[in-house]
Amino acid sequence: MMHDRWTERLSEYLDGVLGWDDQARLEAHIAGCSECAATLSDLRQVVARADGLEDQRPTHELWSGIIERIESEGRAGQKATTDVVDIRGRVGARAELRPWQRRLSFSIPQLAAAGIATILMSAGAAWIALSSGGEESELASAAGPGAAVAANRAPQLVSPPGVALTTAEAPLITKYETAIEDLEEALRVGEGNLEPETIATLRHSLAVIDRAIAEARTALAADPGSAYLNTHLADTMRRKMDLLRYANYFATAQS
Amino acid sequence: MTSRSEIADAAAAAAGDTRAFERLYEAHVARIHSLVRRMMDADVADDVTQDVFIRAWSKLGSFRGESAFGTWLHRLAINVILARRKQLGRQRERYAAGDEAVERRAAGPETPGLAMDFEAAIGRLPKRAKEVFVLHDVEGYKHHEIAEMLEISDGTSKSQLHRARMFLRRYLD
Repeated sequence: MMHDRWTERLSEYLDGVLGWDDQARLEAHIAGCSECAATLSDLRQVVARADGLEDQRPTHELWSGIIERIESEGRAGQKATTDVVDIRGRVGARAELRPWQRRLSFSIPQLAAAGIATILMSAGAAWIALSSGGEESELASAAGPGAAVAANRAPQLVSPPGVALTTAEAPLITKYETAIEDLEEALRVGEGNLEPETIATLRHSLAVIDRAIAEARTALAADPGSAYLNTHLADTMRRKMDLLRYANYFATAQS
Repeated sequence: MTSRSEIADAAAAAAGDTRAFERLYEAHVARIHSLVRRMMDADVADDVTQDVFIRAWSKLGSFRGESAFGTWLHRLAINVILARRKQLGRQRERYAAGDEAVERRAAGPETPGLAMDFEAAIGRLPKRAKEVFVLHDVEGYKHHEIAEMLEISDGTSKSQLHRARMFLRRYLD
């Protein structure tokens, strides 16, 4: 095999990533070097062959293994998660049916209703927590989900549901605020694709969530060190994000 | 399946609809399995493909419909593949010797007179050259994207691609 200083540049030439000067020099070289010209022709064929490769399905059936793992991990996750409105949790709750035997379908109003239920439960828990002061630990388990970390007091922090708070998670609230703004903007653009009743239900649900967020912020202003309240605020914001995300999915899907 | 219906299926799957997820699986399993098979060994392709879809199921909430579902899934698959490769470690990297392996294997098909299947020839590439070749020439990623994924320089990506092509030209029939 012939190697000269241009041989190593043939692929770059082929891909059009050489500078103009080098490209001109290489073309001049190829004009007088049959070996480089032949190599270049081969490389073109390699690229064409790669581009023409066809995808092939696996020879073994893989879906049953996937669905089994999804189902088993879903059940494990259902025990571990503290999210009240984990719609996947409903799958685990109906374990008497095989996953492929059931079809779950949720409309925006249904999702919104679930969101409202969550917020009301969470708001209720927050109200009790505020009223009861130091009984956060008990209340956390009563409220389920995001309240499980209520036992420890911490600086003003937030964390995912059921996870102990750490100082590294402090910027989460700011990230959530930014994400919510983005999602709200996306929804403003796409909500015209949704049915009027859906929009009305959605706005009502968002208003409920916004009230819960406002109440959490007010409570936090009075007790900024409460781990429970920080977690509650973060959970509530996450639920708003989830609702907005689903709404955007449907708005996009119907465009 | 259109992008629109895929987004709807992704949304339904994110809400727990396994039938919707199965439709997405059916639409994309060939591409994902082929990607895995080309970038890794064939004997782990089934297992890693399953991992990709299980990971996708758990990550559906992060799919916001900003790109096509296939694009999102493909990128996630590459992450799973690269993570698995790290996990497998050196003992599974049979062709990790790099340049030397390319030169050693560049002598041509092992069986005289029998052209090796091009797919099989890709499988004989050294690890890094194979990754770069598949990502660039098969999957269409740019060098700067590949460099970021594989944590290498643009120049390394270019040189590995060229080495892979020079190796594969011997298996053109």
